[in-house]
Amino acid sequence: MPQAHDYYPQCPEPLIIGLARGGNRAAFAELVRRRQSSIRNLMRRCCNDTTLADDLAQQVFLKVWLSIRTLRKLSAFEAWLKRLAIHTWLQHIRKNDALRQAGEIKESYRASHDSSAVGMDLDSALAMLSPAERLCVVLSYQDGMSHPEIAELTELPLGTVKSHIRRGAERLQEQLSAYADQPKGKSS
Amino acid sequence: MDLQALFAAAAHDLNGEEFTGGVLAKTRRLVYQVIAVAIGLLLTLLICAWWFAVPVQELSLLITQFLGTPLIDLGEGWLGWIFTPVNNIAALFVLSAKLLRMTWKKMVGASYA
Repeated sequence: MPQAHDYYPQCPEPLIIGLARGGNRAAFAELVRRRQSSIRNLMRRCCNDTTLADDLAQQVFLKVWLSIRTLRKLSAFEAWLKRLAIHTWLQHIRKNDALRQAGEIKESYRASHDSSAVGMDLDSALAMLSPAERLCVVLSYQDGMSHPEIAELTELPLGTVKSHIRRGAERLQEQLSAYADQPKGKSS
Repeated sequence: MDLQALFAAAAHDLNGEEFTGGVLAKTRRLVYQVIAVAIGLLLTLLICAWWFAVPVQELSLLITQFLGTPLIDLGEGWLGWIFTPVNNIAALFVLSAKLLRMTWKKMVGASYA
């Protein structure tokens, strides 16, 4: 006999969030299943290290599990989740010395997680940016967030966000100039 | 160059089963940790109560007796009975604290004025 949680994959997200907020573990698992890809991709682009990215993404979902009861509006879940992810990443880069970490990333980007050529090139180009630039660029180009939204989430001044994105994009364009003339669909 | 398209091309739809399992295992571990800490705290409290119940009771009795000591011996008569609430060490402490508080308030008030 099918159980209630067997139907969760077909349920609308607000219902799943509401159930997870009430302490339903199966609903929480479904929420993780639905949202893990975007958070892991965000973390992977930010830190260029699959293991670390997945570890940070797990931390994000643990924070979700611990504090989902404090979420008032179900519709605000996506922004709230993104905020948690960004705070987790910022906490991580604050904990680790920025210079040391930049060095480690440059060392590690060769062993990038991404098997596709575009992914590898993008990761190596992103590794040339500072953590703050990288975060702003990823949020802008991967997640399609506006500059004020990024400023609000990262708690950086709007001007700083704009300059990070402009400088970061310029450096990415330089590094990835080989893709400039390539027709769409031939990137991998 | 369209950076947004490049990011979209590089993004994968990652398989979430193993990851979700990992997250759930961590939440389970967290629950067990919280339960273990709660049980530990409860046991510590119980042991402390069991060990220190008699000494704490004796100490509180001694303190009560000390605070109730009369300042002036007024005898067993009606005079002693009337002045009992103020004729003890506890009343002295209360009065001293009140005086100190009033003095402090006057000093602070004066400094602001």
